[in-house]
Amino acid sequence: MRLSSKLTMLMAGLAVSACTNGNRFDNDAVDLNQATGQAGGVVPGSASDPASPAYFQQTVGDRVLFAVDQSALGPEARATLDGQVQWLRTNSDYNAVIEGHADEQGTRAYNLALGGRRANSVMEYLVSQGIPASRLRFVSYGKERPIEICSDESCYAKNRRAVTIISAGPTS
Amino acid sequence: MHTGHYISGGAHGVLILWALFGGIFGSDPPDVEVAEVSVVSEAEFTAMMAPQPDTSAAEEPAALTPPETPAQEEAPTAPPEPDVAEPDPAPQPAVPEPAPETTEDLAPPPAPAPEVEAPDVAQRPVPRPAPRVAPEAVPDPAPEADVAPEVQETVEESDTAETSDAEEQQATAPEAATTEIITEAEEPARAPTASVRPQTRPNRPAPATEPRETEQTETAPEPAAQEDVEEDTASAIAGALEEALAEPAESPTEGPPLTRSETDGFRIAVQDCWVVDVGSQAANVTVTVAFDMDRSGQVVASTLRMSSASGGDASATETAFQAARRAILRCQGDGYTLPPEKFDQWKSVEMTFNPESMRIR
Amino acid sequence: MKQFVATCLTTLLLAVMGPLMALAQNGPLRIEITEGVVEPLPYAVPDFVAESAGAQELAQQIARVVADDLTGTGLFREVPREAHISRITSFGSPVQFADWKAINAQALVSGAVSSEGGRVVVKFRVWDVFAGTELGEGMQFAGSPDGWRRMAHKVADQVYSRITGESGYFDSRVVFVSESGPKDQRAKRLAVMDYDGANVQYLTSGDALVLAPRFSNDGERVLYTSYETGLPRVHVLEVGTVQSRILPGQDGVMSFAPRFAPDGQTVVYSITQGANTDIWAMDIASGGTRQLTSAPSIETAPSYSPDGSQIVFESDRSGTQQLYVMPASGGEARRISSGQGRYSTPVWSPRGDMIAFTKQNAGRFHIGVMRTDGSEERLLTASFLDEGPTWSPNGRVIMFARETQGAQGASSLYSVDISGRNLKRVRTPDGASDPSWGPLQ
Repeated sequence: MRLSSKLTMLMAGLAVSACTNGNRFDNDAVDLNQATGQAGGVVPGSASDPASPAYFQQTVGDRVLFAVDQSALGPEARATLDGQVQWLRTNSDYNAVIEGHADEQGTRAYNLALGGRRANSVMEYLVSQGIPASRLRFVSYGKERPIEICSDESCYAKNRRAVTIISAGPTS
Repeated sequence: MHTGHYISGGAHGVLILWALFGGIFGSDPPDVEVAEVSVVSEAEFTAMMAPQPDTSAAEEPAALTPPETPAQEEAPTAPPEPDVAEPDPAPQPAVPEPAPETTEDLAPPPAPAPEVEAPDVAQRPVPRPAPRVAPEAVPDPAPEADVAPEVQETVEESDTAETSDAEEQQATAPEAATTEIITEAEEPARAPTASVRPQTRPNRPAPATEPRETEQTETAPEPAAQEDVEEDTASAIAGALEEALAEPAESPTEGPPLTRSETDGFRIAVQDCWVVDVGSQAANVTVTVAFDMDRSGQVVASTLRMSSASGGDASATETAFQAARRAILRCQGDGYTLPPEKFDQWKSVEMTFNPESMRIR
Repeated sequence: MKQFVATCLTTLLLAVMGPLMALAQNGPLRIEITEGVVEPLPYAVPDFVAESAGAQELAQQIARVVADDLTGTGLFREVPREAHISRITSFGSPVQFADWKAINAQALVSGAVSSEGGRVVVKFRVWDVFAGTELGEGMQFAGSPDGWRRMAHKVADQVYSRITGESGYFDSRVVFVSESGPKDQRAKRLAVMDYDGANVQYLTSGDALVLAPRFSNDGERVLYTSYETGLPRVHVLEVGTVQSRILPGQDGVMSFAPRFAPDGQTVVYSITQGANTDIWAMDIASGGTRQLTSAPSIETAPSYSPDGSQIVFESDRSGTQQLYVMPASGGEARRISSGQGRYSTPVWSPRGDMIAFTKQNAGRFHIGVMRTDGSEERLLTASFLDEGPTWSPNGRVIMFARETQGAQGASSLYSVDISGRNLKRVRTPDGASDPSWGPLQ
């Protein structure tokens, strides 16, 4: 337990420090997830194009959910992430930003940290499956960006999530 | 003081302020309401104005000085001809003595017992309508329990309703809740317990001499007691103790001493007017106020003095003293009801105000 | 509770014994009073006298703001003007105490306003009606007509402190996050306002998500967290110039929950590295940093004691969020919270004797206070979601954000007296959250 968490930290540290040029994400990130339809037709960029971020989002599955206050990945989440790993391996010219989120039942700063934990556990999993840490980065939105806005568990469950956002990275 | 400094300081201040704030909010409409408030004591101001009667001189310093700096220089600081211009240092002439004009000019016939209720009531109507929290809280436990978030406000704001309770207050529980501060968080739990309140009755002093008086007043003092059941128990015990103890002590040492109910009446009359700000530093201060009384039961206001105090700094102590003094003066009405034949026993009084049990817990 | 009962017994015994002992002795009659009433002190503020042509309206407005300030504390109750028997028509004439006593006004504020050549002068006096004396001395404030609200607040601060013996908080400002739009697309910008919600000014544009601004003790700078660079990073803004800059930090690393040390030189904040969030301190001038906690858990929401020697913060090292106190230089932390539920966002009071916090328990959120050793916990509020307390400069009032439930839920600011009374909403033009109360100006 202790050892594993230390390893986790170590890896996370490596992952973060591997990100030598953090700016590239900020400046070049394009919301490619919205690309659906822009290209028109069925071909490149659309959800039916397996190499498109839209396909990643809709078919592979871009998000995993968490239990209250938890950042551990369940079997379902791992299955989704395995799909993400496949896609990222195939489409090695893309980078990913993992966004961590929390539901509204918590204080602001804690939820930021909790969202960070969730995003980090996704990132660690991807790295453990061979995706270079240099292609990944994470950010937490805490409770600031819910996708569902009701104040019930049905909404909360969907808000406790980590979403992998594909971005075109300059191939390094 | 030095007008030159004011002007120069002011001018610099304006420059700086202008530099800092001029046009920063270009994109945002509202202008910063910057603190162009300077604080000058009246006396200073007069002093300043005197040498240079033109407004412009005075105007600049004011506009410029950053608000914080000269703050609160009180009149005394200005040496020149300060108080001359002071409009009303001694406006009291019209009303030389505070004590006398308390209420209507009914001469208080020293005949004590029968009148007891009258002065109290006459005087009450005014203070009573105060937005005490309690009267509302007790009768309405139900809504509170459900709607916790808003209740507190409703309670606070609904002073109007209380007025109607005024008469009942003496007899019933409501006002007891006064001293117990029920926070929003505590309300659901509190509400039910409040109704247990009547149990405090056992605590009442002996049904002795003037049941009327004690009854009406005793309810008020106890408010803290209704905090919860334990306390009721406590007060019940204490009540029993009280009675037990009371008897033997009645034996006078010398002269005809006041009976318990006589002193209780006095105590209760004052505590009804003792307003405690439970969240303040002054609520940590126990203060003893000494004063003399005249034969009509009126306080000789000029003799009011603080004889001892503990538990706070100078400012908190002063506030505690003022509150105690106000209580003594405000509740005397046409004079406290005390047996005239025992005047020697009460012509000089030392009253200790101890807020310990009222402090927020 | 046992202790409580004991206290009660003692108190009652004292109350009983006091008079008894008095009976037995010579000299003055001794009486101990242990119970009083908790009710607002009645006072009167007649319209201020207009001493120059055209100052009429201002004189009324200023008197109204003074009354709003005082009544708004919950500690005072204004005797309505309709009930006044006397009018004050000249600032210099003697006060007819009997008339004010008759309506039971215990304190009276008289004032005068003159306005000439763009300069407004406000004078006032405070009277203790029942003692027939003046409380303190007459004072006056001068300024431009725009500054009239501040002058009114200053008058009210004076009245407050003369009656309560404690400093006021009316002439102060609050920095907060102004919110608009639905929950899932909420726009947030920094804003600053007077303590009563007047004079709102915006400090950021709303393009970037911003969170949790914190005033420096002198009110001149504001720390906040902004997503301007794509991830949360601590920024500092000069209030005077509205210029802001990002504090130095590692690229790609989140930093948030900043707060100034009392001296304004050091900033404490959280940094997230991997799954771990720790508290760091930075010298704001040099950018030099130092790590203060190192547990593999979430440590955040640090707040200094007023003397700068200690820091209270929240940590989930025990499994749930709890409050801890450590030396300002880091090191051994001791847990102070011990009740049911989760504790977060601790803030040390300006008086130094209490810590305000957010508590989650049984599906509700509370704002509460406790002693700095964790004792005497008291919850002041309860709702679906209350969070983020901030202290008034005199340590008497707590402001916080309350979010309502559901899809239409919105956040607004509330304040409550530390006794738990006088809970009320602070009016803001839009939604509002994350208040931070600045100093008395």
